[in-house]
Amino acid sequence: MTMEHRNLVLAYLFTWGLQLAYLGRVLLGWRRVRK
Amino acid sequence: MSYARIVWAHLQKDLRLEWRSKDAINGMLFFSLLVVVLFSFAFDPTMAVSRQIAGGILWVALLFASTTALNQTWTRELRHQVLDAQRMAPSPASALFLAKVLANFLFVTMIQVVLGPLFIIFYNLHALGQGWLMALVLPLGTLALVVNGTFFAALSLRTRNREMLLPLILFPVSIPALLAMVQSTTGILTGEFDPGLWMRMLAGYDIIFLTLCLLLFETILNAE
Amino acid sequence: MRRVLQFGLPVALAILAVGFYQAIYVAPTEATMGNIQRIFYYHVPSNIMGLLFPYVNLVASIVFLATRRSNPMRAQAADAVALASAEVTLVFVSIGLVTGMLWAKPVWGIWWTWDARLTSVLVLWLIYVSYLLLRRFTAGGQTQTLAAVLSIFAAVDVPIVYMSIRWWRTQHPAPVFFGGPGTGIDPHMMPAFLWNIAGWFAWGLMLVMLRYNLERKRQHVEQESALRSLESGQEVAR
Repeated sequence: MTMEHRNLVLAYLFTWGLQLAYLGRVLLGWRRVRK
Repeated sequence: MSYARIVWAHLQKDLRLEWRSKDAINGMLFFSLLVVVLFSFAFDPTMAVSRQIAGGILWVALLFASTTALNQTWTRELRHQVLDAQRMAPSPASALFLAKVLANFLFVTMIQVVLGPLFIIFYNLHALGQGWLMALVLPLGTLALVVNGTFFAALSLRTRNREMLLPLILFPVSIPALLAMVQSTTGILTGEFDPGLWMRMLAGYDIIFLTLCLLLFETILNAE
Repeated sequence: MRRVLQFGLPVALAILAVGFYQAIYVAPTEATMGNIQRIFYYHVPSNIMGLLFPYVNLVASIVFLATRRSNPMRAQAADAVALASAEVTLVFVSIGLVTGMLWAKPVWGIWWTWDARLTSVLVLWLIYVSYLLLRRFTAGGQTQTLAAVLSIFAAVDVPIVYMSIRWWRTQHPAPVFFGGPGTGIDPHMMPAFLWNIAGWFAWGLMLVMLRYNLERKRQHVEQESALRSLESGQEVAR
């Protein structure tokens, strides 16, 4: 895998990773508050 | 009492208190001295190189030094419930702020008076441009640091991690001013470019943020 | 809250799925850079959102400051919007910075350059980090007001940073990533861009609404416990 290809994959993974992590955090917070 | 008189009253109190203890000034002075010495070990510049970097070192040293003192600018007021008294008194809050800014400005300027000659000695400096312009750059730059610094010190006053939060908020906001200060100083020292644009930008920055801080000080003082 | 999730999430994901397909399979490969250029389809929308949501934060902060005495209910709602948009801003700006660096290294050989755009985005990131830290470290009643004031400083400062670095760079030029003179978008790439801009906007909007709801819920819980302790205090006093 060339550096270009690797960085492209990393960029997309990072984007989704951070977005989903934040979404997860909000949803978890919602569950905690409802108790 | 007129506005100016109120400011003067606050200012006198601050100066007197500081003169008695000299906490802030000694701290700042020693700190900046250390920074100057450390940097000359780190870089060991030749005379030509030192002209390029002295501007940056000077203002970074002043930024760090003033940050150490800014935190305790307001804690003194907190200790003696001065801020609560201020909130109840009819005098305008912005007068208190202005007085603090002037006091801090004087303290940092005193540091510069000591630091300046030391810089010239340690870095073998000698301005190739118009050296007298430094007499304008120094106050303008100091004002930029002190206005925002005093404001954010008040803002972070009752936060848990005050010492960490102040630089964290202050530095990003100060970046354009820092750039202007350093560029002006470098332009004067190296004589390679005209510092005029940067000095004008610094003046503009001072006006914008002084206005903003004066307008918003009452808001953060009465934040509860 | 559930409605936002049930409706918003599938819509956003669907648009983003199309966007992904467009970005990776449909859009033509760029002539000079090759496939690494496809990072732009995520990098650019993230940056756009990262510049949009701070304005939402600014407006909400101003509304908060203006109404906190006269209309406390509205002020609380405004503050919740401010907090939500601040967090979402940070997510998008972080993604923008990292994807930018991942693109820059293979293409330019450097991770970073201090040009006007990058520096002002970094300052934006730093200020919003300090915004969230301020909110975390400040005690009770003043948090919202102080944060709102900081938001105004951010709005004044970031454009100034941008302009000052631009002036600086006319004297001391340095590499400019993407957006220097002579760049434009190949029309065949537009669909991929547009789908991803729409998709990430929908996603960002969804996130802000979810976070807003969470914050409102938290505010209610806090108010209720405050009321309860007031009432029990009154009973003891009686």
